[in-house]
Order: sequence, then C-alpha cells, then structure tokens
Amino acid sequence: MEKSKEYILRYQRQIILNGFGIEAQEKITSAKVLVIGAGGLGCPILQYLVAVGVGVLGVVDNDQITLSNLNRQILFGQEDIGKNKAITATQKLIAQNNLVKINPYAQHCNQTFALEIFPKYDIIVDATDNFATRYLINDACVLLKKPLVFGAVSQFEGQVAVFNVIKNGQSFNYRDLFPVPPKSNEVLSCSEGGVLGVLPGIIGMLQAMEVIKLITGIGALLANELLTYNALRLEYYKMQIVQHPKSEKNRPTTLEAFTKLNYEWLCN
Amino acid sequence: MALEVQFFGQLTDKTGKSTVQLNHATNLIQLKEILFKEFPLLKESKFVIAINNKMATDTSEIPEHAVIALMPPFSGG
Repeated sequence: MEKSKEYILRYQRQIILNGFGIEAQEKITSAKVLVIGAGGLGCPILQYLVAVGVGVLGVVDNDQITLSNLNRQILFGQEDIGKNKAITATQKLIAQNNLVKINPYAQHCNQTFALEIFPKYDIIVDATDNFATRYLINDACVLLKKPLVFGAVSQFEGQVAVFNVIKNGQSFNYRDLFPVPPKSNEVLSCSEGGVLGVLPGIIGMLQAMEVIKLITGIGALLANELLTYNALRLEYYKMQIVQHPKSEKNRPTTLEAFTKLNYEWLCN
Repeated sequence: MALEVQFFGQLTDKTGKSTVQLNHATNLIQLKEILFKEFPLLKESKFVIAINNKMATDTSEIPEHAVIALMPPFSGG
C-alpha cells in the first residue's frame, strides 16, 4: 500500500526499529482499541496509543473533570474543570494526531454499552477506577471473546494483566484471580487511599505497551500472568495465573445472565 | 525450614510489614491458620496466594524455602 510522506515521517522512528517495520505499523493503523476510563490510567494510555498511530480509538468516560484529577490526569488543565472527560480528551488527542479516528463515548460503561460497543473494537482496555465496572468489563470480554488489557493501582503499587488471550493453549480472566468482587469498604479507592500521578502514568504506559505488543505480535505478551509494580521499592513481581475452581461458577456464562447481573449491588 | 511471606497492596496496612519469615507450613490451610493467628485483620481481606510466583490452589503443597505472596485486588485508576 502506498503511504503518504506524512505517514512515513510521523512514524519513522518506530518503523525503523528492528523487528517492527512497516508491517507492524500497518497492523497498528488497522487496529481498533477501546479505552474505558479517561482518568489517571486512561490519559497516558490514550496519549501513547494516539502517538503510535492506532487506527480507531474509543474513549469511554461519563465523569466531569475536577481540580483533584489534575495531579494525574495529564490530558486536562484548569480550563477543563467541569467538562466531560471523554469529550475533552478527544479534543486534545485529535490535536495530537489527526491520522487517528477517535470516538468519544460520554457515558457510563454498563451492560447495554458493552454488548453494543465492544464488538466494534479488537482490544478492550480497562482503565476504570471501581470494581463494579471492572467485573462488568471482564465478564463482557470473556463472553465476547475480546482481549482485555487490565490495569489498576493501589497507593504506591499497580497491577497489569492481559486477559482472554490464548498462550500455551490456555487463557485466563480476572475471575481466575479474584472470582468474587470485594465489598466496597474492603479496598480503598484513589480518592480514599490517595495516589501520586506518576504511578498510574507508569501502569498506563505498561498497558499501552501491552496493547502495542498484542496488535503487532512483537515481544512476549504478559498473558497468563499478573504483574505488580511497587513504585517505592522499584520492584516488579510476576505471578503465573492458573484456572481458579470458582471462576466459572461466579461468572455469567450467557449474555442473558450477564445482562441481568447487578454489578453495583455485587460490589457494595 | 523457614518460609518467606510477602504482602502486597493494602495488606501491608493490615500486617504492618511487607514481609514475614515463618516456620514451614506444608499446605495453604496450615499457612492461613498461622497467618490469621499472627495478623487477624487478614481474615477480612480478599487475596490470592502465590507459591514461588505461581498462583496456588487449596491443594497446592508448599515446598521448603518457598517464597509466598499474598496479593489483593486493586481498584484504583
């Protein structure tokens, strides 16, 4: 395919990488990635996926930007306070790279949204901040057989995993690690426990890198493993995931059961 | 023989430390008994246990000198 001079120049530094080349770039340009959450994790993920040239990028967020978001949600400034995150992120991202098609979804990711929108994308990225949405996204991705790049933070630590991708004949999902969601008072959120902006930045960039590896096939994907990063100790810990005996039992196994499940109630 | 147990995320708030050395436990039931006695707050927490970097199931045996990890779910983003 004949590519414009602008395309080649824009991506030249990554195209010349050994083992990357125009083939990997073409795969990235054809890829459709849905990022759920345009917060601390979502902002760096979106910026790097736009920079690398992902073909179509969906941005899902129903929240408004607040002053306390600005220590980590680096797409936004003071003038954006009160505006919707998905819409505002999209405006900034278009200015960054107009070769990428960006679809903003200024809505909450619920079951109807998941079943309607997930099938339009190749890869789903979980950059949310609550268990109700995380379990909903996980269960939808298992049912729809969509690769899911998961990231989450807790104070100075973060987790990354790639679910629903077959490696060595096996694939796992979040319920293999934690079959049942914790209650809301059991685990601190960023607003309760605090967060230093760099941490979701690092975890988000690890997620963005796994998305690029998933699309292009370069390197060794973080499938079948959970990576935990500790910023204060600068340590990485990898855990091999195995099938949890209660994973299947707790997950909705039909679209009907999925639609009927009350995720908010489950996580409260 | 001693085991090393590592705590991740908010579990360190409940144990007050990130690692602890224990006398050997042969399986997860025994291990949890020892841990819950020393750190009762762990009883209320959700976590997955890994033995030498591999997720363990209830029937997993714990080899000598194993490094055990207790990993809770993280929700922030």
